[in-house]
Amino acid sequence: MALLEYKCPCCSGAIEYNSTVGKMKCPYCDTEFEMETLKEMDDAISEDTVNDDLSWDTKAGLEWGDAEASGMISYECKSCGAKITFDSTTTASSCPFCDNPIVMTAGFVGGLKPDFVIPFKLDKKAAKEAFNKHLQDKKLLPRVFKDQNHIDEIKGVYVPFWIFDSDADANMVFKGTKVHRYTSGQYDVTETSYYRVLRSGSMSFADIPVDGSEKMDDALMDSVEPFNVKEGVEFQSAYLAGYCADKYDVSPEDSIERANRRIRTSTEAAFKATASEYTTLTTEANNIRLSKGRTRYALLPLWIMNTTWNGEKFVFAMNGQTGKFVGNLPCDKGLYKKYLFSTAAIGTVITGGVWFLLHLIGIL
Amino acid sequence: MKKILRSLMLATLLTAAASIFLFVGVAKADDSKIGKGSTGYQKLFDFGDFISDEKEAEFENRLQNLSDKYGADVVAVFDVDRPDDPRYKISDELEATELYAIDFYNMNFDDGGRYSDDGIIFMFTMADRSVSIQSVDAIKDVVAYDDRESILDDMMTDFHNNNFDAVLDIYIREVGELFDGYGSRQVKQWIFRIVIFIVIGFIIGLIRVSSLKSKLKSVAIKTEASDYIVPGSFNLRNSRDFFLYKTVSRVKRESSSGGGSSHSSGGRSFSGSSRHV
Repeated sequence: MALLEYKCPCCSGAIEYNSTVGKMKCPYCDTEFEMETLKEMDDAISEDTVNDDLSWDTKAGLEWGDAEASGMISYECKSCGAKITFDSTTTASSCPFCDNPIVMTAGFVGGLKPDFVIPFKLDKKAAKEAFNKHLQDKKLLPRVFKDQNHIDEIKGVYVPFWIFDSDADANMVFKGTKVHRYTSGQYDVTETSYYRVLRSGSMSFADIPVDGSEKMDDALMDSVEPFNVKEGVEFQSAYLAGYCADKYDVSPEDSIERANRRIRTSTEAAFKATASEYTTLTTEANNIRLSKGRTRYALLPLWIMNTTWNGEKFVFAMNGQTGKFVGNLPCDKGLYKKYLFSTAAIGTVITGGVWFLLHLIGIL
Repeated sequence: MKKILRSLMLATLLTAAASIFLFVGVAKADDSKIGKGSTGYQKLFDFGDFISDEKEAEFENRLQNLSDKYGADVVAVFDVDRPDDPRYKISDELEATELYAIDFYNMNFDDGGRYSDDGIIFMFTMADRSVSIQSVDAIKDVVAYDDRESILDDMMTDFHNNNFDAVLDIYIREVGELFDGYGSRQVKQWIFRIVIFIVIGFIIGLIRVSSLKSKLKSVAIKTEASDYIVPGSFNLRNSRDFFLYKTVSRVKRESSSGGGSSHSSGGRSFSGSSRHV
């Protein structure tokens, strides 16, 4: 199996991408290298070894150069089936998704080359700090969970995302009501006027991310948004140094429904906002046509953490670009009951006291 | 240990609060006095000789006993017509009778503050055959709107037969029953209130723990893409609104006292029901 290693020209040690300085850095002799330099090196290797196939698929992603593909290793997790791509410098011992030991399979084969990658801006230390912060001010969090804080491993993962851009042209039909209430003599009068509200127009969406990983929880991936796609750079395998990359296993065709659903909801909301004078507004018909649809394949940076508590698995994720940290936490049933009953007791006393005072002054 | 102590303190607090509320309620209910004292003045005023002579003393006696027992003036007035006073020359005869009843109570049952204002007055005027029952101050809770309407309903047949002895008998008997039952009604009311307090407290508790629990959840599917709308790209091409139809619903307003009328006069608060008979 041919593995690509980025070796330090000075000491021949394995170099990796350092998110703090935004460069490749040798951990042995601390020499830093510009990405462009390594890119030129990549190109030189490519020229020497293979003929570039730059024919683009009309859809997302690029074809891998042989030199790039040969620099990576694919692991297949026997437990969850995740196919994880590492560069040769990575020495991971467990699956970042299910934490099970991973088994090395064949070299990297198949798949598309990402259109761009957003490099990690935040390091493992920042992820640890974010995790500790995430546990703060959670009154119902089990004390033991917080004290033990037993995250086994924190892994930087480039997760495959499909990035969708599209223009939306819509015709909307709403049923609107305007309610006017007034008093006439001894009667309370309610006048309800009904309208048919027609709206049509267009709007554009850009950079809607949908993860292309089957084993990644969709809700978890949605929750770490947003990513600043403008900071995306051309993909180079060098960016993977020190991290692992998940290989997409959901096609853009299968992902597009998630993007469409979100576009439909936001388009409807945008048109509804133009009829705010109505008391109620119900959608009777909506016709949304998408055009200039474009899909790009991107690797986005995430720090993934796993832990198990009382037999239940908890996965946390931090946006490696913005630092947004998400992940559901367990609830202590004992604390839940304690807070419920103590608040109920205080609420009962206060309610009774308020009633008593109002009764004394004759309001009740 | 701390947890047990906290739980014990909590349970004690809750039990103490419930006990105080219940004690106040039961103590109030056990006291047969509903009002704070009766004036001891004459209670039956039969200006048109509507009540039979042989029964008049008995009725007066029953009204006095009822008033003394419960500390509230229970008054009955039968009159041929309202006095010749501009205040009563209004188109609404029932309102005029109510005003007459209120004035009558204020003028004849003011004892310089020695006794409470609590009481109830029945007023009948023959000229327009109008009747009004006015509950005063604390008695508004004892003989409420529904109770007054029920008393008037029960009197209707005897009014039509001009059997005023029976009318007065119904008034005294039913007011007495309401006074008698007020204690047990109050206990039930207090128990009901405590249950309501606990339910409200529990709802407050649920709202708080729901809020705390929601802090543990930070993962959710996104259903919209508002973050990804290109700024300035929204173009409203067509906007047309068509009026279809209109519906109008009218609901008669409920009186704030839950029916009947409410007045304040002479520093007293009256709540009454009136009708033609």
